[in-house]
This record gives sequence, structure tokens and C-alpha cells, in this order.
Amino acid sequence: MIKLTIDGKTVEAREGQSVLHAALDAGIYIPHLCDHPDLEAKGGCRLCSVSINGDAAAVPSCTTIVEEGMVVNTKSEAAEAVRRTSMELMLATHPSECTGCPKFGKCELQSLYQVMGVNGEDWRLKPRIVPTDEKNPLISHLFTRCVRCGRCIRACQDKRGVKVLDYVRDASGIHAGIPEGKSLIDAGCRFCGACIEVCPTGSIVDAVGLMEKYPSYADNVVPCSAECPAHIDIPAYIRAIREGRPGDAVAIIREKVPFPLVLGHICNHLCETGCKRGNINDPMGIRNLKRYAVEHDEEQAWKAKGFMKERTGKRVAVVGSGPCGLTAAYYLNKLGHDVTVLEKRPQLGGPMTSGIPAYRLPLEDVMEEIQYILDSGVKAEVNCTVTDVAALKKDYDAVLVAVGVSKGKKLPLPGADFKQVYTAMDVLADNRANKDMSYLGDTVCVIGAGSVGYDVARSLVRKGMTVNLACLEQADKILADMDDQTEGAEEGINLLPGRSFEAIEGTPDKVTGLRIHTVLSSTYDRATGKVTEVVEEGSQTVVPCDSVVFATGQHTGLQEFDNFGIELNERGFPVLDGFNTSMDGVFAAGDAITGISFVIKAIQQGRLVTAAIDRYLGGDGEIAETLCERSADPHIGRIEGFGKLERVEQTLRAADERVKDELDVYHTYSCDQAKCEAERCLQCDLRLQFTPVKLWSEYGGAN
Amino acid sequence: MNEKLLNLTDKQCPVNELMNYAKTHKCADCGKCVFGYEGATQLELTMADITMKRSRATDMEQLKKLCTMMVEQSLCDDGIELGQTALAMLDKYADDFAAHIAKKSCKAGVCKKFVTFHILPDLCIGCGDCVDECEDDAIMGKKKFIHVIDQSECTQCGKCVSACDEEAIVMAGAVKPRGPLKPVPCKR
Repeated sequence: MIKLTIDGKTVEAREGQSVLHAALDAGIYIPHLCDHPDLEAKGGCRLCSVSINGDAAAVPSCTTIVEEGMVVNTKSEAAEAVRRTSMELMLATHPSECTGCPKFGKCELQSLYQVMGVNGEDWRLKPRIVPTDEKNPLISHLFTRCVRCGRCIRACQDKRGVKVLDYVRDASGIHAGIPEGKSLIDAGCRFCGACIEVCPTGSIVDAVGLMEKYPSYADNVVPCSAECPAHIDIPAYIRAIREGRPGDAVAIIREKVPFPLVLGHICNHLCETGCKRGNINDPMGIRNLKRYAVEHDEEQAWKAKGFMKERTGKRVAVVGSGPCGLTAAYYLNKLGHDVTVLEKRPQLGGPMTSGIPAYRLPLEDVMEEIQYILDSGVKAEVNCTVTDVAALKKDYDAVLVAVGVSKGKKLPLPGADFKQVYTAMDVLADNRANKDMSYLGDTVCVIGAGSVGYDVARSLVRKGMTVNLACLEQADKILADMDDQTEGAEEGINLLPGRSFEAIEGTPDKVTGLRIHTVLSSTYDRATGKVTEVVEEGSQTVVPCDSVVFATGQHTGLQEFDNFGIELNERGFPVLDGFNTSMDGVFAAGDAITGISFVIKAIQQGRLVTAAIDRYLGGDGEIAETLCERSADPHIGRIEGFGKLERVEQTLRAADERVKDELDVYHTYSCDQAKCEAERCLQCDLRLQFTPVKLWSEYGGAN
Repeated sequence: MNEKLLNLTDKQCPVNELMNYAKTHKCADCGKCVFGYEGATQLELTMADITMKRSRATDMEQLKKLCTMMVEQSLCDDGIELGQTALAMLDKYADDFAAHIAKKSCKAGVCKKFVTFHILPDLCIGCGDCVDECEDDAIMGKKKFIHVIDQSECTQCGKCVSACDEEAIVMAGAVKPRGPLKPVPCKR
């Protein structure tokens, strides 16, 4: 350590440290602007001027290295004169109106002139007007506000090695910008956002609206992780894939979810709707990369990591083995509790093994992930229906009701009680259990075109049946994923959108058709639950069929038991306070409290309820774990044509081939495809590596 | 230091020369340091104001301090050189700067705002061509009368000079030619 005196105070500094940072670290504030803690100091702005050892001329403290015994005066007359003059000169050519600036209140220049109490009015005033450029994706340029500190240029050129930004000249003078008037895409920008992060004024900012979606700054910077219900560290695992470390990618994913491969197949990928790459061309293929990583994770190094706490001797029963129940079981076991999962069906997995068809989610992939949970110490009983949770609670310290929504609902149509009228839940379970499906006949009408409706329709097409898929929604408002819609159409599903249902034709023992009419538009009144239709005159018709399957919603089925033991609302869902039910020590989570949702949401429910149960049992509820240490090289360099790199899609098997079997319709990315796709990532998270710059007011009034 | 700028001829105005020097200096094309770039900007803007009769009493003192800081605080030799050259000019041509600021006069006759235009009564034939040319209606007179320029209206554009076939209109610096204050009949 080096000892020096700053403003009469003895300060210790590291060898090679600048006087500026030695002072700031010691709580002595020196104004500064062109200096950034993560960038090479240049000394251009001179706001950090100080006097050294009584010398007459002030020097910039950012480029002055500490020396033993050095005497620094930050407030000498010479230093103050230089500092004030420099600030006045900058302000003389900076727009004087601050209130309309996006950086108002967070601007370093504004903070500095306020604390220094100076303005540029003694000088010739000349705003340098540069047209605002909002044509680039993600990043807005308002270089009228540029003070030429060069931080963005140093960040872009030196820190990132992208070399897009430089000093440019136009009629207004010199400012930071893109040489030759190019667009960011044409200049080779990688949209990492480093320039935005280091800009002290409102010259380079996130495009309007990008930073207002979430309360947290980090979430706005990395929206993929923010959108993911489980908040998986997506940029980190994409980086690991790009660098050829699929095992690390899996470890990162497993920090948040115990079903990476399941999610790699069927996640509804909200992350991709948040992905900022989508503002440039198409979002990252995040889900597909996840699947690639798991299927290429040879070493499974994550297995040796993570916490496993001392046994507590506490017993927890988990009712239901869907993604929520099994996730909770997995973490509760890691927290030291003895967990028993009780499943009513002959197979664990809930909708993962008895709902979602094999062509989307191969059975062996689910079972492998469930097996790991069992291997970790979770006990499970199948064919075990819990009808009275109060009785169960007597044998356990805590009970989790994670029964999902496994009972299908039918619309109250005439004929809905006929023999050949089924619910999607039952049909999908039979299909997944490889039962003989011929009881449905040759022609089937499926009602409801959400994910579940498509699962039924596409499964039955694979049984050689003629499938009509009818729904109230108009063709452009269909609820199912776009992939389901296009692939289902290719596979020969006869879609009947914008239809309303009148009755099932036939006799109780023999369905002959579904009577429908065409609806030009419909509105749903949330308050009353009533649907108002505009009917097309004379459109009534009967679609001939041998059976009808309702995919029109699901419920818990709990109200069918005489007395399940916890209070239920009129729709059959547990009455809740947080995750607590009406009975002490009995919790509920997953679809059984949220209504039908997606696997990733159920997993996050499992994590959250785990924390609640652990705290109930006397623990701290802490399940965060690091399975892979992070490292990210900030020097990302140039990639020619980066902005135009197209999204790589998984290879889809030909429709006429895939309807002949139950095998996965997609082929996993090849290594090359995965690396190409991973290369497209903007690495938004790198921005968060920058040391946050503190405004004067945040130094706690040290001076 | 730029020696040429310290050896100006009688036809060169130091204010104008310093303005152009700052405007085209390397520092005006760089932007990497405040004292080089903004210093050059203020030098140029202040000089321009002086030539446009918009000088302030404090200009000289302020610029001397600025240039001293430019010498001390610029990032590279270019800014130092500009500061030194400007300081030396402010010193050597102090009288010229003072004349521009206090007397609003440009000895070299370069600063257009400080010159005046006059119609020589001996040469004017009262043709009226200059009146037609003047966009500011600053020329008084009628046919066969000696024309007179109204100095309060004249913007020193100089277009009348070339419009006069008799070469009766001249530009004047500190010394003004004599003539009538109002149009009078021509002698010729």
C-alpha cells in the first residue's frame, strides 16, 4: 500500500492506482466526468483537476498515479479554476433545457454542474444540434447532448473490441457517433449496450419503452431472464453453449429448474418474447438451445454440486407428481426433509407423462429427469389417490397439494353426456398409456383449439383418424402456439375456427355429428362469463363424426371428493393465504391454485412453495445454489454481419413422415447449428458487469 | 506557435485571422479534450462576435485566462500551440483588438461591419443604378441628384460598388470621404 495525503487526510492506495480513485475510495469526492472506473483514463475533461505537492499548475487526478508521500489538494485555487472553466465551457455548447432529457435526474453532467454551481453563461453559447436518430433498433442516439467524454468510444473500441463508435464530424462539430453515417447494423454493432451503460449524459440511451417494463434495472437490461418464470440465467447458459461447454449450460439451467430437458422440448418460452434480439430480426432460439445443451451434456458435472442439507427428520407429503409437485419434492429433500410423493396414476410425471403427447415430449426424456429426483432421495407411491388431506396430515409434518388440473370440463351442450363424448384429459392419458384408441371411431370432432386441443387433434391424426378441430376464436386469435397451428395444419387437421357449438347429434349410445354454426365475431364478458355472438345467417351445419372430445378447460377435481379436508372455492380451487390452505401445515401450489398453465410456471410454483414449507418447518427457505461459476469475456469483438445473422430453426420432420409415428417431430440442433444460434445472442448481461457510476449525491456527503 | 500570425501585413486583421485560425485548427476537428476543442470554439465564437460588433468588455481578460489554461490543460501539443499562438496575438495586437472592441474600427478594413460605403459627390451622375441595386433601401436620391448613403440603414453588403459604372462608390475605413448629408443636384 502507498500512503499519501489528500486534503490533509492520510489515505492508503494501491500501487498504480490513480489519485482520483484513491480519493474516491477514501470517501473524498473529486468531480469527474470522462473517467469511468472500468475504462482507461484519458484526462480530457479536467474536472478532476487537483494540485500536487503545491505545484502551480493543476493536473488531472485520473491520470496521475499515486506516489508515496504525495500531498494532494483537491480544492486549490488553480484546481478549482480549471474545474470551473472546463465545466462552463462544456455547458456553453450543451443544451440548457434538462427537463426534456431522458437522463434527467440520472445525468452525471447535471449532477456535476448542480454541485459545482456553475453555468456556461459567461461564454459564447452555441448548442451543437445533431438530429436525433431513433431508426436503429434498441439504441437511440441524441448526440446533441454529447459532451465528447469518449466513454462510449472507449467502451465500444477497447472494452468490447467492436469498434463501431468513434468521434465523427458533421456540420455541428465533433461528437461520438457512427462514422460514414452508417446504421448500427451496417456498422457491425453487436447491440451489447455498453455505450448506453457508460454514457454520462442522455446522448446514447435505450430505445423508448425498453427500460420501463420491470421495476428492476437488471430485469430491464436482461428481459429474457426476467420473462422466464423461473428466472433462469439465460445469457450465461447461451454463452456456455457458444463456448462449447454444454455441461456448464445445463448446470446453469439446473440452478433454477430440475427439468431442463422437458423444458427444452415443450417450454412455452416466454423468454423469447422478451429477447432483445427480436427487436433486430428474430429472437434467440432459447428453448432449442436448452434441449441441445442437455442432450450434449456428457459429464453431468452438476450432479456433484449444489447443496444437500442435514436431515431434519421432518416428513412432507406431496400430493401430485406433476412439474410443481416433483420440483417441490426435489428441493424439500435437498433441504433435509423426508419427502413422499403420492400419485394417483400408475406413472409419475402428471401431464408430462399422461398429457403432453410423445411426439412433443419423449417419455424416456421425462423419466430420466424424474429418476434423478428419485435417486436424490425422494420417495414416491403411484396408484395412490388422496381423498382426505386431513387424514394424510396426521402422518406428516406438512402436506403439499399439487394435484394440478387433471379433470377435463365439458361445455353444457345437449348430448354432452352421450357415451362417445370425452374430455381431452382422458383421451390424452389413454393415448400416452398406449391404449387402443379405436373407441373414438374414424372421425373425431375436438372442441377447443388451445395447446390441449392441438395435443388431442395431432395425437389422433397419428392414429389415422380424421380430425376436425373447432373453436370459437377466429383464425387469427387461436390460443395455441404458432408451431402447433402450422404443424397441425400440415398434418391434416381440419381446423374450424369461429364456430359455436349447438348440440351433439345422435343417441346416448351413438354420436353421429356435432351441430355448429359460424360466428362472425364474439365477445366475452369477464364479469358474467357470458359470450355474445354475431352469427352468420344460415351457417348452421352438422359435422358428421363418431365421437366428440372437449378441450375446453380443466379443473382440480377436488370438489368430487366428499370431504377433501381443506376449504375450496366454488370453482373447486383451494382457498388460500399465500400458499397456505385453510388447514395449518397444508399448502397448495401449481396449476391447482393458478389454473391451467405451463410447465415452467408450475416449476417456479414448486420452488416458491418449497421456501414457504421449509420456513413453516423451521428452515430459512433458501434454495438458491450455484452449480457453475460464471465467467464472461467482455471483449466480444466483431462478427461481420452480426445484425443480420438469421435465427437457426430445428429441423422439422416432413409431415407425411411424422404422422406415421409418435417420435419427436424435431431434430435437435447439430453442434454447428447450436453454436451459430448461440453466436446471435446480444449478451445483454455484459452490461451489468460495469461498475455502477455514483453521482455526487451518492458519496454520502463525504465532503 | 504559428509565426505567420505574428507577422501580419497591414491588409490583414488580427481578429479575423485568429477567428479563421481557430476555426480551421486541428483542435476544432478533434474533440478529445475540453480545453482544446471548446477552447478553439470559444476563440472562434468570440472573434466572430468582435468582428460583428458584438464584443463584450470582458472578452480580452476572459480569453487570456482561457488561453493560459489551454496551454496548461490541453491533452496534446495542438491545443497547447493554439493557446500559445492566441496568447501571443492578443498581446502583440492588443491595440487592434482594443480598436475593434472600443472604437468599432478595423484598421485593415477587413471586418465588413466596421467599414462604411460612400458616394463621391464629384463622380456621381445621379443615374440611380445604385438605388435599384440596394436591397436595404439605404440610398437616398433622385435623377440628376448626387446620391447619399444612409449609414443607419446600410448593412455594408457592398453591392452598390459594382453597380456604379462611374466608380463613384468607395469603401472607407477609419478615414471617411467628405460629401453632402442629403441629396443635392449634380454639378455635371
